[in-house]
Amino acid sequence: MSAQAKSRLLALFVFIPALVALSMATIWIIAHQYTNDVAYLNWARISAILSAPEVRLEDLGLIYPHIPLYQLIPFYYLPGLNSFDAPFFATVFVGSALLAVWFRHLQQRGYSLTISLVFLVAIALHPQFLWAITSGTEKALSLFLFYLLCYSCVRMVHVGDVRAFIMLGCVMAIFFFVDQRTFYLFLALLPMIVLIAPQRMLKDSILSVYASISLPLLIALCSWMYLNWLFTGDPLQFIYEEDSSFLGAKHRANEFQWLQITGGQFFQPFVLASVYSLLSYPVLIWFLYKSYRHKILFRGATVILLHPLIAAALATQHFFLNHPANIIFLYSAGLMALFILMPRLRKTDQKIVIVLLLLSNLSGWATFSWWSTEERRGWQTAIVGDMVEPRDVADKNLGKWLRDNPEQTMIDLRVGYRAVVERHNMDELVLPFMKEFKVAVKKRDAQIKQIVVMNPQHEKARRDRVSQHFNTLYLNGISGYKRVYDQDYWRVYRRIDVIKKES
Amino acid sequence: MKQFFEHKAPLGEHLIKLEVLTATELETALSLQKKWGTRLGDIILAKGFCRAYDFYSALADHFNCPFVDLLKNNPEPSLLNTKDLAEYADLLVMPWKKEGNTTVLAVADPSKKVIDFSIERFGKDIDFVITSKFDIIWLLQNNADDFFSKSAVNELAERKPMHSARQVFTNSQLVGIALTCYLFVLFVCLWPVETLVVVNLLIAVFLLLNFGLRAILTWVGGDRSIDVKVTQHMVDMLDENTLPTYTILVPMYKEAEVLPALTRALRQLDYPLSKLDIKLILEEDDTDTIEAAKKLGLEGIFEIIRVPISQPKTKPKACNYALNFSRGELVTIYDAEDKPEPDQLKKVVVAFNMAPDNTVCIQSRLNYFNANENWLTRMFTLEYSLWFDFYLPALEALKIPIPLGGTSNHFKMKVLREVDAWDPYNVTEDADLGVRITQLKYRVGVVNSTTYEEENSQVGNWIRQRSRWIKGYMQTYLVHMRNPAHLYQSLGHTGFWGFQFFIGGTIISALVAPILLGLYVFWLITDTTVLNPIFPPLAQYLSLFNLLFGNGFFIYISMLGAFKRHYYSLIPYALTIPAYWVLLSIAGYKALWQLITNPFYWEKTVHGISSYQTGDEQEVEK
Repeated sequence: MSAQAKSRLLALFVFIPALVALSMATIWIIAHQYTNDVAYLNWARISAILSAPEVRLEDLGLIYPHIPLYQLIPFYYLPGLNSFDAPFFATVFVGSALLAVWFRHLQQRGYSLTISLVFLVAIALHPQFLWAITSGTEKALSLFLFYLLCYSCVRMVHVGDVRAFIMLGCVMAIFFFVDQRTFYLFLALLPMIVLIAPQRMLKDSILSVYASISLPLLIALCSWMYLNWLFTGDPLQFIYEEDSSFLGAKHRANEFQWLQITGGQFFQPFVLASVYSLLSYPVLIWFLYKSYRHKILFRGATVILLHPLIAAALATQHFFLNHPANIIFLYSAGLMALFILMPRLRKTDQKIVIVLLLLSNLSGWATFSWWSTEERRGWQTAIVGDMVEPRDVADKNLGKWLRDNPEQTMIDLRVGYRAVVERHNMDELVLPFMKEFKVAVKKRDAQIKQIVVMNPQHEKARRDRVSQHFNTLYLNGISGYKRVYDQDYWRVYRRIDVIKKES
Repeated sequence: MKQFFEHKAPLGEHLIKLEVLTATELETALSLQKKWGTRLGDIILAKGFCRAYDFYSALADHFNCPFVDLLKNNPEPSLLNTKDLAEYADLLVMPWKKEGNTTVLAVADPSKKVIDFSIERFGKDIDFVITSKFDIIWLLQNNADDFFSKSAVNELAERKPMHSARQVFTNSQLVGIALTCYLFVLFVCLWPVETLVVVNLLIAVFLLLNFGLRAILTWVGGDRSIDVKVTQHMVDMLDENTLPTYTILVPMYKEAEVLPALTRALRQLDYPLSKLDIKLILEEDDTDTIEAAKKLGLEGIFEIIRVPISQPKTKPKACNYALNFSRGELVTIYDAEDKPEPDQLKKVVVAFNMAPDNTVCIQSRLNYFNANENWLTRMFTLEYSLWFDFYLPALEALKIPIPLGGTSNHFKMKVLREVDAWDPYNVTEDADLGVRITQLKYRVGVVNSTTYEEENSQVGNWIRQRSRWIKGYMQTYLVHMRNPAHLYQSLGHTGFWGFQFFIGGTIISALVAPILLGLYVFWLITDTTVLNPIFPPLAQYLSLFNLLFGNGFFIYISMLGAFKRHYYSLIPYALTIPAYWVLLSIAGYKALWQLITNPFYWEKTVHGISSYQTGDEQEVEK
């Protein structure tokens, strides 16, 4: 068997146990009632679209990156996995693939099987890594892509060929369809390209170097604008729309401790994020120190080290980032790339790194709760084995009721996604992208059997398109309909003739 | 038995005695002989130390043989045997006349091999006279032009008709095309929307796969390890003694003005001159160029080959004709305006040494010296940089048939003759030969050495050239798809599908692009919903992907081509490449029309119209 085939086979052997281990961690946190809004929403969106009579991807909306949704498509069609847990397992799959790829790169670097596995476990146990992989969001894919981004930088340092530029440019472009943080990551990387690009190329034409790295992202951005124009009539809708994930926490800055302290500034979040990162990943400093004597490696390590920090500071300055960890978690991938950047470590250094990795894990756990958000708190609670206090019980109750009353139902996914997921079935739902919904709101004459409406007094109600179009429905009802559900901030109205028929 | 070619003093001393050569020249020639390992006479002629006439007269004296000027004393045509013509050209010997029972042979290169051959053919009663090799080549052409010409035209078509483009469409292909058209019309009548949806989907998927293949090629071609194969160190380590004789074919037509620059560029090649066998291939009716070449008084490494007038009047036919007089172990083709990098031949030798034994052709990269002349030359340069710097090395690495570029492809002579050389009916004979060679289990390699050419700077001229290329691709596709199962078997799945999308993809995308663009512009202007039924979601998404990412990707890789070539000033121009694709489509339709109406017509590209000059040309002008 060739060395390459052997290395691939070994990577597969790593992938499977990693998948099992990470799946068990995921099952553990889900069993402790951890949920994630993004995971819920993604699953609701993709299953709603796929269950519609005509599958149209534009119905997903164009205000957030689509690839994290597309990765859920196979799960929709896999019996047994077609549930709201699917996003968690999708991210676990990606995480395992990342570990397998890194393992292969370690092997190519000449590390022994045992030491590679030790590194792998030490990285995987870091809380930021575990959180990114098991929280069911786009973070796992981001981590994977950030690793590829750093790997491209490493290739640029080591080889400096055109492929390194292609990788860097294309990874950035794909990143745009995965993660809304891409712009900040891109902007943060731009000034540092001069540190890693081949000096001769920079001397010959610095603009060309930038053009070759930037054009794919520019094409991705223009394409996205074109799609926005094509399907919504406004090329910039994804920037202006309040719900757009490209705006991050901009419209909810007051909800987050981090933004209250640092929002709108650059240097303060930079310093705070630096402290947070160095405490979470003290091993990074060691790599910087080890590369100090080698000018080119030192530049590479500096870029990998500074990149997330600058991105975090920029994102905070624009009120995008609600918590530094939402970018700092990328250091797990950066750290992996540092192993590949450096020549194979000597045995003594390997031992030091292992100790530092363990130390990083400990301090990572210690700093995990800093400026914590509700979602991070929930994850931390679940991972240590405590039950997470259920959130949005009202939505879940509505979902259960809808499950028991599976009539044709009009509901807005934007506010009712938890209820929709809890219903476990997308049949008979009339959602905003559907023709029936559009006809109903246009004529203001609903012929739908059931209508779900939110209390206009509720903070989320202004985003409920049912309340917007039938603005007196919640309080006064509508002729021909009778209230059949009234709990918390939800009410359901059912057509009287349907009730009569049933009785 | 009579002893032939006996001599007392060494040739060098004799030449000095006859004042044909100076002592310094002899010293130089002898030191070169040690280095190059060739015969003294070849070195003297290659360096142009004396006139060929003087040299051969002295040689005759040296061997105690009479010298004869064959142009004044023509040989007896009845003595020539057409079966032996190849040997005559190779050994530089030909029967001159009968003197009683004795056959007198004229020889330019006396050797034991010549004696053995002559005895075998004419018996022991023979004698020799010395003549110039140029006279032998000239007279062989005069006396056997019909034979050589016919063999240049018909060899492949008669021996392997399946591989010849003489028949444009086979009967089964015509039936297939007719049947497809009939079914299409029938289905459009019966199920118009469904049929158009299927066609739309097929086109979208084809373009997507075409895009996918090119993405892979760009990725593979971007890797440094397959990019720089032959290093300067490897070239420096070559022992010139061991280098093979190299034939360089230079087909020309009405290009008298570029001759001085061309010969200068060829002389500058870093290769032992005495191991060069350069053929200036000129059409018989192109008297201006023939006269201009004669007037230059070229050294012994140059030979003028006059190609008799016959149809088809194509470059491959001319090259096939010249191959009859070629003596190299390796052979390459340069166009008249080509400026190969000086160490190209050596790099090719290294590349052949490094490659597996079944590698029979090495393609050098092509690029342009007048890239910055105007928008068109910039676009063409971007395209060529992509083609030769990314695609071809990647095709080699993936073992997909390489459509060879028009020039600077280097062959092992033996195999080239074995495969019946170029197809004179194919107007991109090089692309066809690349596929044919791969089908025969031989391999084509790529080397990191560039030949600079003059780029077309005029739209009309460009369309003429490009339409010929696309027509040639169509011919190549039709020839090799006569038996798809055999092609699949001989190329394997990667090679087969690579061929479909690389050769087929180039043709289809040129033809389909204007239709899709037209529909898009129509929709954009009118905002019509008429097209909606033929764009169901899947077709719509595929088309959108091709429109946005496919085209975006092609713009990007065009830019990368310039980036890799260090043509940084061309990078912004990559954004305008979609306009260039419109020209490609115009050329594509012209090619299709010509394929039907005039398949073998060679659209001549006019050279020497660039306002840019190379250093050579400027020097010549001075």
